[in-house]
Amino acid sequence: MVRLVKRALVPAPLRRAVLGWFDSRYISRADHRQDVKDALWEVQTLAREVTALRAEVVELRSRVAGVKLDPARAGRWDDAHRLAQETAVALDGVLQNEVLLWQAVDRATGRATGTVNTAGIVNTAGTVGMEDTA
Amino acid sequence: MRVAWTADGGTWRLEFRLDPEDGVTGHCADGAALKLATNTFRVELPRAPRDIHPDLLALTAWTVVAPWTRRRVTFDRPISPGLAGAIGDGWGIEAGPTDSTGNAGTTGTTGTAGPTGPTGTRSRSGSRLAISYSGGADSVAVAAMLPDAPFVHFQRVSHPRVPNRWTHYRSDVLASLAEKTGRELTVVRSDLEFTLAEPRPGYPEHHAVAAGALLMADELDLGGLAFGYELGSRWLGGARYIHRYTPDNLMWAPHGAWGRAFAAVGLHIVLPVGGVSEAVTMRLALGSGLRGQLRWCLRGVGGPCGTCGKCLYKELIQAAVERRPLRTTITAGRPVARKWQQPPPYGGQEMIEYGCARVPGIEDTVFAAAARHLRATEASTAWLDRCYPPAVAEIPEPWRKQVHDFVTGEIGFMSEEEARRVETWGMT
Repeated sequence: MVRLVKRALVPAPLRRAVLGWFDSRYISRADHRQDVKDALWEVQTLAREVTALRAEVVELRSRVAGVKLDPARAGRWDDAHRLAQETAVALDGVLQNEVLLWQAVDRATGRATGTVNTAGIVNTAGTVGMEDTA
Repeated sequence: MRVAWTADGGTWRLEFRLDPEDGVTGHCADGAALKLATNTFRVELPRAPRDIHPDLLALTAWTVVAPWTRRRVTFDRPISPGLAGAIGDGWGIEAGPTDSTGNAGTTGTTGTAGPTGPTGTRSRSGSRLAISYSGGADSVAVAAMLPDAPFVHFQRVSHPRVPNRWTHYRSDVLASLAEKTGRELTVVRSDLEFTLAEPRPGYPEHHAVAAGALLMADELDLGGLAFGYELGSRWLGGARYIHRYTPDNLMWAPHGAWGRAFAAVGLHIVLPVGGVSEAVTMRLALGSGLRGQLRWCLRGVGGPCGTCGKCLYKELIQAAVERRPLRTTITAGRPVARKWQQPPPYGGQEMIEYGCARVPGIEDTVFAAAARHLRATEASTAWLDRCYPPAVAEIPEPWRKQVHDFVTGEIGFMSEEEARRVETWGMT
């Protein structure tokens, strides 16, 4: 701006008007200085916060490292998990055997001849029926 | 096999017993070996239906017990000769008893099993088309094709006798998403998947997903049920099937065993997206008003989990449709990515080819090895962007025009040369 003023002879009122117009559009040096100071202050505050957080992380890490999984308890959890899996698989077998058992029962009682009008497993008094397996 | 239903309000409970020749091991219609877990299950309907035709009860039972039935199936109330014939022709299984008087639905043999029908008709029929809605891309695409069709959603619940070791399967999340669609919806809760011990709980036959639609068919006046099975499942022998062209698909062809059994009870199997690939269903789903409720992952809660094999497969298709690089954290060492490190054949291989040909930077992803093996190009997979015409031709007449018009407007049909790609799939 200074360069512009020096290179051309400009009437004072116009020069003032132009300078005034520039001043209204741009932030002053003083304001810039203040902004830079504020930003620096913010950076320093954040740096302190990061340092504090790092210290906290180190402290939490050390606390976690201090905690040990009780091997007896972990063993019990593993055992319970294994037992649940094995029980479920075993129950598969029990359920299948039940189906086969009913097949054998029906064969033994002659129920599976296919001559009955119904499917042969609808209840009649004194015979095996749905309620028995529900 | 002998089956018997009991009803308690809207909850229908089935118990089945093995005949001497039956066993606890058997095979699904797709050839997978299955082992029986237990012989009871229940289906909870949202309300007690006024009436259920005996054929519907019988076919619902058959979708569960078929794999373990060797010679004969005995239902607890007479079925129509039409259904007995379909089971006889389709499986070589003697089904009965039949009501030769044409009075199926009016017999007094229902026991405690709820109200008997006043129909007196030989076979049942209905007029509406419902969608068997899972919430995945394929069924959302079907929903986009049929904007007025009601949804029937199957929700897995735990079985009282089988410990549920599969709680990561979030059927509750899928059901709540279905409710958010704002469409006419019937949610049916059932534990029937737990009749299967091996390989894991699931539908004994794929058609067991229709249990709710079958039992509600009279209530909702259903004449057809639309599934999201697409080109790969219907025509290319995809997933765990045989990987080749399957015009006579046992499960999904109208003239296949299951197609005829469903037709016999007046609930026709309809595959509106049977002629298009998963790229097309993905494109339709992403552009649909139900995009917000779209979910193919069974595990995620707030969104897809992003770590399961299905998420990886669908991400490949979505990335190909959106023409962007693959977004996934799954690495080649993970178990879900292992099969893509091996040479083909793959389940859903046509979609792997499609994705590998279109996803930028595929050579730096878990599909790099598959891409090297398949060497697919955009030109060699362009047929997967259009519809195989015979798939629309086999849609039952009442709904064919609507699907045909949608395909004409939104997708387009394959040329004869492209259709030949379908018909020679797995044979070259």
